[in-house]
Amino acid sequence: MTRKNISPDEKLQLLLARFRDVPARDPAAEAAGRRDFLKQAAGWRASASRTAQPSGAGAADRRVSFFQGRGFLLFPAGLAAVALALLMFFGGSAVTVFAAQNSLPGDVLYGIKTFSEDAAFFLPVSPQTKVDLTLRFTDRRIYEITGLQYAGRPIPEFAIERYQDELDLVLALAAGMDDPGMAISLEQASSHADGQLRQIVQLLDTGPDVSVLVLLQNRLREHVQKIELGKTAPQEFRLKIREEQEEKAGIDSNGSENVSQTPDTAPTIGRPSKTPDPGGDDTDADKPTKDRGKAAEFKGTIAAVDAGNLTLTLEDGSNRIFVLTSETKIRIPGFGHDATFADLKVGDGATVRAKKDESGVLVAESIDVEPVQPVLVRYAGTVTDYQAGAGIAIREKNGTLRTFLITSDTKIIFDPKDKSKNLRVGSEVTIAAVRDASGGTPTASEIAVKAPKAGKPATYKGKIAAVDAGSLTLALKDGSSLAFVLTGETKINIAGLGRGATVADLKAGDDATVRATTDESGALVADKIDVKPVQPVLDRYSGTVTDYQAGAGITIREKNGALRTFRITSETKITFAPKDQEQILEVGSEVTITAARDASGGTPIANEIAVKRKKKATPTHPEASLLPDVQICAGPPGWNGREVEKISWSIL
Amino acid sequence: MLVRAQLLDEQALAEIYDRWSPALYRYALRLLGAKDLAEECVAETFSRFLVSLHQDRGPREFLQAYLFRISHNWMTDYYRSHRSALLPLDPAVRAACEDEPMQLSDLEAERGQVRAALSRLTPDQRQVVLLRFEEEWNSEMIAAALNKSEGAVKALQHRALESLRRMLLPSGMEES
Repeated sequence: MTRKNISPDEKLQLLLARFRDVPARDPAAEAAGRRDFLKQAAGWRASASRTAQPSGAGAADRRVSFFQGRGFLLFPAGLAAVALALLMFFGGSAVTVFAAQNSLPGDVLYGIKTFSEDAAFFLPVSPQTKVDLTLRFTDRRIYEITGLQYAGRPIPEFAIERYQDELDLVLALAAGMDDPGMAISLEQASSHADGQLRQIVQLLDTGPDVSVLVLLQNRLREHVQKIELGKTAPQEFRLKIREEQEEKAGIDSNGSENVSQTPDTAPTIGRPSKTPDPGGDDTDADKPTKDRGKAAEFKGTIAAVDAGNLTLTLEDGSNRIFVLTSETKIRIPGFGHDATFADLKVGDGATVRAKKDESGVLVAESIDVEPVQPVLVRYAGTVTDYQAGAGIAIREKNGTLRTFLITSDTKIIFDPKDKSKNLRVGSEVTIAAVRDASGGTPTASEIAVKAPKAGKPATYKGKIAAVDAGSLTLALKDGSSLAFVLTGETKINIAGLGRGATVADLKAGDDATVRATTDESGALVADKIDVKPVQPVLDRYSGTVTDYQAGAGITIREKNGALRTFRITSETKITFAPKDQEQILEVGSEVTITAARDASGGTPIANEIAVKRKKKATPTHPEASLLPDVQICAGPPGWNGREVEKISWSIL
Repeated sequence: MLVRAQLLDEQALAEIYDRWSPALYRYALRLLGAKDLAEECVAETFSRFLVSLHQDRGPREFLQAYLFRISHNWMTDYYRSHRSALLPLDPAVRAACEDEPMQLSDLEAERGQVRAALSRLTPDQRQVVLLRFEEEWNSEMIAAALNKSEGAVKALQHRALESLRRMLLPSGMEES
């Protein structure tokens, strides 16, 4: 590149410009990245739609889709290390253990895999960790079953029984915890079971013999039912699990079939054989045999309700389920005696008077509801984004941005003076929303739109996104956009063009500051537009043309030997030196090319190609100085006058 | 668009990815020097963006700056955990260059010098230089991306250019 008298800063920038060129991104990698990103979003969207999911990063981790752990990774590294140490102590090798992790039931290495899993229970870890681990193992079992099914191999009974043992173990561990711990474990178990059920349903289409899969499906459904029981009636759940364990222990002690004692499954080392009684949660009403027929009162918050049941969360955090009958009296302030179960709302406080029937079920005699007034908070500001039926964002006066969800229940109220009745970006609104204690995006219950104030100009900064004779759209920094009406009164000032600029001089991509006034219809009418055109950074390159395709492209070699290629468009100006009568651009011409810097790293477009005048060869004829001064006035098309010298020589 | 993104709207997220992933990739590739690392950086950036949306901690404005900030943090962590993180130019990167072989070697040498000089800047200085001169951002945007004040960004840029001048332009060259 040849540049005269360039400053150190320019030289530095030129050097940095060398760094600008990056090769094009691999389209396949880009597409894969995009796909993964959208897939991840879809997973989160699905999980967000589920209710009763705890929030936070930990919960998010638990929500990863089924099989995201991909086989071997399901086995935690720390525990794998312990299992590895144990197995090596007994004579295995590291390679064997790791190779075994992907084996399937019936494979030679499968016994090592299950042993290494059981060995993990030697660890002095918390019951919660054991639940987590066991749930991962249940995922593994389904992973194995999937592998067997796709391979057309039979699913051995011991694989199913091991899976069942692990499901039972999760519930037993959960039942041994206090209420909060159990709630977390059951939530995890529920999430895993959902994924596993979905996987089994998919497998049902994979082969003619799906009887084993149907069996698995049924067992999983029973498992899910138990989880639901645990969520709604912890004490009942504990009793049930304890009974099941005692029953199982009885069978085992009699020496009859113990399904876990298969050649491929190690004894359940360290696994709890009996569910500890956490205690402290018993109430009179929970002792059906003792106090049957005696009514008790329960005070709490309605957690769920339908035509047949009501679930109440008590002050200690535990849940009680009550059966609703036609005899159940429902009293809600303001409803008189007409209230029905349909008027009961989740979140309302309630006192339930109930007694147990002969089967131990709590039957509600009466329900007194204390409706909880939702804490409404109001926020006033200017709308920066609005998606009808989905969401709205406003900027408060102090600059805070707030986002709200919009549902079918959201009321939009317009000021009676507002004839336009148009809620849009720029509208002044006051939003009433129920405070969301969980920290999630609150839902707008009411959006009061103020009448646009005419005559108060405001200034907006952004980039011109679109422009035509009557309107201009400005893309603001926050990603939103605003549309302005252009009138004959709109003053346009473009740096470099002065105030004489017109709408035709406005270009998309330029930075602009628009001062606008809201008219009575609510439209933003632009009073003044100040534009700072995005000045392309121009570079100049001088050299000799090595290739030239008119209207397409040109390549030059700079003095330092560098080759540079530029695109030629209809906008490219080709200029010649004033005294250059030939005015030819061809291979060999000396040129200076001005081109806009292309940030994308692509071939730059030549803005201007300045062709230098060709140096004439010095005549060598001794009488050269006597040559007549021939002036070419006209010639045939394409004739460049070059032959004149020859003619002159021949004359001489 | 941000509102729709906060609702995990697929179309909005796709638009965001299509709009900003190419620039993030270029940025990461210049700094990291390897295509697969650059892809990893982009993937991690968008993954963290999703996490923040999901936890309602996502950006309220300056989405572009927000994404570059995530990318910046990822690369800063990467530099910390990999002392010699500024890798030599990926062979695939070299092969993609369209220049002639003779020319290529000169360019490579120059790029190598620039890369080496950049590697001797602090991570913040390096990113300011790249965002300012390669992505042609203004100070306000860089400040938003790096979570710093504009004054701090200008100071970083000043110090970075001073250092680059010393490293890339020996005293004789500066006078030419």
